[in-house]
Amino acid sequence: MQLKFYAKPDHVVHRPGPKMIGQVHQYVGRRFVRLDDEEGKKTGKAGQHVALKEPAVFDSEGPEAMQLLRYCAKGGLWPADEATASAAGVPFAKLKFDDAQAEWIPDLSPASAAKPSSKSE
Amino acid sequence: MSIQGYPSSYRAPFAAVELRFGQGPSNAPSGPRTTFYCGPKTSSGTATANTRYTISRESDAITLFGAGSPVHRMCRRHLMANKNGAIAASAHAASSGSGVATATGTITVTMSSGSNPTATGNVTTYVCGEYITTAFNTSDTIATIASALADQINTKTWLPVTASPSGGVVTLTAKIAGASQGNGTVGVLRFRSAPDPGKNVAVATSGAALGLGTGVAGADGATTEVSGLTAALNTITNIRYYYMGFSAWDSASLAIIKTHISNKSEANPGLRSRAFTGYTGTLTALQTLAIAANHERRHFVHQENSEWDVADLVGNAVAVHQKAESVRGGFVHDNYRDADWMCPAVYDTADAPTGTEINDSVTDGIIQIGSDQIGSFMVMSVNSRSKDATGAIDDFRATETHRVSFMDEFGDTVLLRHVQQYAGFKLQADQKLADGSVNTNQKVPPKTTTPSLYKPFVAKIIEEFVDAGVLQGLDDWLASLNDAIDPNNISRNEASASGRTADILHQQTFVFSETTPG
Repeated sequence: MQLKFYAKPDHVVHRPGPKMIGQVHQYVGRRFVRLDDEEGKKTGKAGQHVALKEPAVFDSEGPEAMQLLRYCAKGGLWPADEATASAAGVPFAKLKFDDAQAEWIPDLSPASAAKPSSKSE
Repeated sequence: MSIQGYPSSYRAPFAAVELRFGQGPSNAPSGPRTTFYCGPKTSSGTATANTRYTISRESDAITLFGAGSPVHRMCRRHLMANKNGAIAASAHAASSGSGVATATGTITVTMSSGSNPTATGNVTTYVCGEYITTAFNTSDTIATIASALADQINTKTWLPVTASPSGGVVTLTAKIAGASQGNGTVGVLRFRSAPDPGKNVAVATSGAALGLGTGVAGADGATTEVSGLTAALNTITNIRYYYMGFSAWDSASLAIIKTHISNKSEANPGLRSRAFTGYTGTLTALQTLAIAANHERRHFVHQENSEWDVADLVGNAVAVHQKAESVRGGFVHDNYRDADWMCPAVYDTADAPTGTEINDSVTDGIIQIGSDQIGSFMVMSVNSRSKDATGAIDDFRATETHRVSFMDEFGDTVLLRHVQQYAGFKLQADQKLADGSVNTNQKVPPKTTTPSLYKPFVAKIIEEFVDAGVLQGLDDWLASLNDAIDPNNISRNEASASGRTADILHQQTFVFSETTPG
């Protein structure tokens, strides 16, 4: 089985595995966007880890699975599908990607509530 | 070498030191280190808002800020851990106005059948880590048990809640209104309660903390707590408190605290200080806050679902640091669980941080509190300066607390001795020989110094700190030591040096091979 997660607003989860010194830090379901390179000039502005639209996928038998499910159960990650939610022991919530924030947020639209879907966006 | 905040055109007399962290290869006034606490007060506190008071004993904090207020609780915990620690404190008003809500929770006592317990026993309750035992007998009812429990909670006046009984329900209400005592997402004031089994008594709680579950979540009103914090900090922008502890944990307050500390710790005004805040929510949420701070003078103390509230965590952490760092070269060692660390372990073992979570915490500059069968311990004292300027790349060069503490001590010592030794001195350039070297036989008038005469003054202090194990690499420090008169300001003598602070033995590996022949 594959575990699928989306990044959650105001939370970061380290991507499992060795951390490479000098490399951009990796978070589950996020990628880093530099803000310090405008028109080829270094502005000194910090960057931002924005949420990916694609879920982060891990093998449920992998060494990192238990820790990621624990982070998910504690509210640090969104489960991206019902199977992952079930494995983490949390309810599955339908999500939508908010382009303005570049974050996954709960889909509270009436259509979503009336017609729950097992397939995340 | 110029320093920030003092361009050569600056003419008023001064002595200042600029400490630069993270300068190694990648892969103001001085005095005692006093502590300052800041947070909201209750209405019973007699203190004038945003006014500083010296706290010598717990009763001062109770009178001034109200029993059970966050400021009282920080001072109380500090004095329990470090009774000789110098403390000042200031309180601001709690949130108020339209929309304000106070966090609550309930403990509900019921009988499984009938109206009375079937045997004598106890209801055991914990509120913010305080142990409360309420005895009952076969003539008690849900109302008498609830009433007795409420009385016992209220007797512990230092708790941050009041208890009121109604029938079999005890309602716990935070003494401070607003989101800071539990906003419905982050539990700050935890409680639990359970009866002896098999005696017909049942107890249920509204949630694990005030504001969680069916409890009322705290919410700020039109006048927010952060506005009070802002006003309080504005009164101390010109005053140095080396350790600053705050009960606030929301992102808006944390941003203000960082700005305050960062600005004060620049060479001008040179009021170097460090700020501590606590957090009892999830690690993944705190990581976001710590990475946003990313500052060598900002400490985050974390225990997820702590039995203590953030005021307790901050008070104990600050006290321990003040005590350990009060001696030259002192620091809070790894896995700190000495007698003055009083924080209980997490109640639910599932809340104890895993090895991965501990490593993630340290990597992101968070003082994580671990828990085991014995109790709790501070895993490692770090600050939040864990990333480079972009916030994207790990940069651990200045994350260890002792590097900042040691350099602050060094800088303060240099400044203090400069003032003691060179007050009233004149400055003149060195006489040079024909080959450009300094004339070592130059005649210098009384109470006059030159760059070459001043240099040994700094070198001597460096040597002293290397001998004390605060700095290391004497040769590197001395080789880099430079002193010259500012060519754009002939009254300014500029000394600079670079080197390393001592390293701490954090890790040790062993490999043992058994070699019985086959």
